[in-house]
Amino acid sequence: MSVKIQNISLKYLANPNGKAHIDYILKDLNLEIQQGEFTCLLGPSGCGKSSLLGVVAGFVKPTQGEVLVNDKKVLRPDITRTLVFQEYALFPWLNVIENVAFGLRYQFQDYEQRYLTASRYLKMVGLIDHARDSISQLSGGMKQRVALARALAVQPDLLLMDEPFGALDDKTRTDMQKLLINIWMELKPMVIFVTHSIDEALVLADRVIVMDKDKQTGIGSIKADVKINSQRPRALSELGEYRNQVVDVLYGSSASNSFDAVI
Amino acid sequence: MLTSFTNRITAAQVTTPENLFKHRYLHRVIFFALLIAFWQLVTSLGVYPKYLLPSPLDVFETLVWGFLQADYAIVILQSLRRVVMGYVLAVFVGVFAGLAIARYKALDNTLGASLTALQSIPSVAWVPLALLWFGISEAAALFIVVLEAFIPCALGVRTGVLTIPKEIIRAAQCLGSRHVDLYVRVIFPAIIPQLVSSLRLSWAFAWRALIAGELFITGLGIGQTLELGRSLADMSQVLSMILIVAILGFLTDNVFFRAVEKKVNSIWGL
Repeated sequence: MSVKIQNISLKYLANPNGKAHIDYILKDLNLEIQQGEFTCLLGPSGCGKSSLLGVVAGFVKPTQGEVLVNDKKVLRPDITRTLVFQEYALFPWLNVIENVAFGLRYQFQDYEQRYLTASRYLKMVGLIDHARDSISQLSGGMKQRVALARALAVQPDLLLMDEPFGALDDKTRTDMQKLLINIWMELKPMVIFVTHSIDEALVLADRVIVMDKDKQTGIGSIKADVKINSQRPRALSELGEYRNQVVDVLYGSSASNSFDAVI
Repeated sequence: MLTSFTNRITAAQVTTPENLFKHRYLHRVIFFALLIAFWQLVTSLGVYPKYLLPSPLDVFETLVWGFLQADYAIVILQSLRRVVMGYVLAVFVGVFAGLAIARYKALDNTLGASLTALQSIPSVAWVPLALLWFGISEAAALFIVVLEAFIPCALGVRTGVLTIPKEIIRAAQCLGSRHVDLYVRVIFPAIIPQLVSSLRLSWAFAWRALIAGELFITGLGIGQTLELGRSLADMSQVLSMILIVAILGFLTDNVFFRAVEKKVNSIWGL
């Protein structure tokens, strides 16, 4: 299993000074992800990382190029590639377990089997005691755990995460990162994780794809592909070397020692 | 004045929910008692002749007589039957129109825009047309009710669909939901809070349209009874009917729809 992003170009309607015009946001971008790899797309806002994720998911049709998942061309969103959003996007009219079971309806005819599967994933994210709670009762961290369980329960080939922990406080964020890594080590799905936090990318990923946009053209491109060969769970203190590498790419070599982790 | 203002704020801060509840009903009772007393005073002073402005007691007597010895109960039930029929039809039309407008941009630009124009036409303006098309029958009143009441529903559903967060739809799509299934399992439940407020508005519109329509048609009903009161110069009957409309409106809006709205908003986390 693999993901091949081939020669992707993406245009969008820009409107910076009141005058609408069509601009490239991505041009001829290539990236290949192997089975079981945890990949982070890291870069500042507007570098096209979320747009790229939209293309891989099938929500955004690229102007040129194609995405192949297991050698099958992505044409529209489907159940083999599920998404976790920053704003959770849970269905408030369903309770916790019904949310997790949402996609399972298309895989299992049998009601009981759906609920057994959903329970298994709820247990995995530690929310089995909240199975019958309504969504509006949950905290942000709990909501994101439900969203994670919902996305994983359908056993996708590829899990896409769009700044999933961006709305959480630091403590919850760290807890969620640990939880995600534990689950990932157990299930080993392919993951593409979009973030603008260098530290988050370093703690989580096998590969950090560093993206940035060109100051003149505004086109986002891949600046570096940093492989992280460090045993999990990781401590940030062990990752200084990788961190310098990433900061060098984004800010130039003089910046390595002074810059903040978050771009 | 400033002191009284700050006093009020401090008072509000220590008010418990139980107190608020008591206050609300106390306020209402006092207000209506004063209103009726004033009304009684004006009639006792004989400012207007009795056949133009009956006293509260006259109206009360008419109501008692109407329910015990005449057909007020049937009159109300008949009007309720009509309004429910028209309303159900209007909601049906409104929901589908709203979904269609939200789905197709071309429909939104044409039909959607004309709905706003249509909304500005008061229901009475349709009466001549309705009478010519349907005669002085119930169908004419129903026509007016549907025409009035489907609009807030259609516009509400349209807004509801267009304001569903993009992520909700995307989450459903990547979990495998599409086409009709997406409508049934996601879009429709997502707009329910908006739908409930539209239903409330539609209900109010339906009532107004019905009373307007009934003034001109035959058969039993609140509007017809009101019109009969006018032609017999029996203002206590006219006022009784107006009171009944007001009370029914208050009960459905403040008691029924508000409770539903509250429940729905708590589930949807609004």
